[in-house]
Amino acid sequence: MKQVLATFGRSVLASGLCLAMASVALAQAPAPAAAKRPDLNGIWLPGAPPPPAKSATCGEQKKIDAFDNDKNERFAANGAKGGSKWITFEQDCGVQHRGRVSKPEYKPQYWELVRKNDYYANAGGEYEQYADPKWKNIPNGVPRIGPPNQIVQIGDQAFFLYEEQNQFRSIPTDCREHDPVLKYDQTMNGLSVGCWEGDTLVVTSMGFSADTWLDWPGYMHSNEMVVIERFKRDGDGLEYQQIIQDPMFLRPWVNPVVKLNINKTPGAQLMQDVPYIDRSLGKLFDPNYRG
Amino acid sequence: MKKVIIGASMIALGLATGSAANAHHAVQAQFDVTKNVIITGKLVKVDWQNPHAWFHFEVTKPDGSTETWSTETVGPNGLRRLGLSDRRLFQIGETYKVDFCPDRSGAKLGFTNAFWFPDGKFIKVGFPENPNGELPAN
Repeated sequence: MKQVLATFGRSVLASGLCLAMASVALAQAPAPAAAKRPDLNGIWLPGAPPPPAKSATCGEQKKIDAFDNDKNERFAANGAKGGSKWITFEQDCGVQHRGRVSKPEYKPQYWELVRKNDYYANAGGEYEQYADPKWKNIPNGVPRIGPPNQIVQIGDQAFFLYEEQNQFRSIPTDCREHDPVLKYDQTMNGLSVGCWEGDTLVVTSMGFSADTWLDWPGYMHSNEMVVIERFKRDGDGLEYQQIIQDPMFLRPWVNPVVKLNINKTPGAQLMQDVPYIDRSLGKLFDPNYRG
Repeated sequence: MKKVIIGASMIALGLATGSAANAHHAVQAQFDVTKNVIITGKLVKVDWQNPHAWFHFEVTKPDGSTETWSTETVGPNGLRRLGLSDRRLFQIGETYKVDFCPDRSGAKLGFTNAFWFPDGKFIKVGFPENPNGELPAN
């Protein structure tokens, strides 16, 4: 009996402790500020396709249905038929792409290397050191990976999910400092922390490896790169912007704001991707046909 | 079959990360886009991989000997958007017709423009000679 009572007593004590801990947790858990923050949860799609262009456009705004191109005069230039329409497929607007106003401005000592990266990106063989890292099937990395396909926001924590190559990023959004050691880590996506500035989530990432590029025309970066991403909810849309700082640059590369739309399709869910196994490097008929 | 394709297209997200992310070359760096070739072959293998999926076909020549043709397509995510990620659509051993742009080196490779499935269904994944799927007279 004594033993039973003792057990009972311990149980009561344990329950009491649990209750006490729960009330402490309850008292601490709700952060009023967090409740008022914009909701970024959802699957986010690239902006709506532009209205049909009167003149040939050059890949800046791609139609989501890239296969319904028969009505797009860009794909029927000069009466092109059949496979000739592939002439504008993928990056067939290389000249315009390189001529964009928004691009990284490198310090003069890096110009030659960027030029070689661009020229030999697809060459392989003796020029493999200049190959676009995508040929080596490594992830895009931040910032080339672009905006997340899905955002999961739980209190002061955000998770960015990317369909391509099954990437994820776990980002505390409590305005903490970067870990003093981990910020010198070397990964493709870096170490990210976030902070709300009004209704804009600002995510700052550092701790990158220098193995990735920013874009295909040879735009490299150093491992001292810092990437700032800004997210602002606007109705069913999400404004996304990348600002990239690097000691290789003359000034930060401020990208234009990209508008994303929330996916309202019932039952929509993020899919898994399959591995990259690219064997084309150095085997192209014309490696300089970047197009 | 139709139901399967429509369902897959609706659920698939259609995520496009934009052309900036691509490393790749223009199709014409490898394939002759001025030519369309149509083969009839037995599907022997599918490489369901990024950045482009590959389909391998065994084609019987008039003299009875066989040769293997491999045709590249857009990536698995692009095929999913077209409702073509359903593995039931591509059965090993079944006979398919494929319209493709041939490799410029003469290798038995191509970039796929369209498939005719064993049940006669025609699916355009690129720019076939005839976008409506009629086969040439010969």
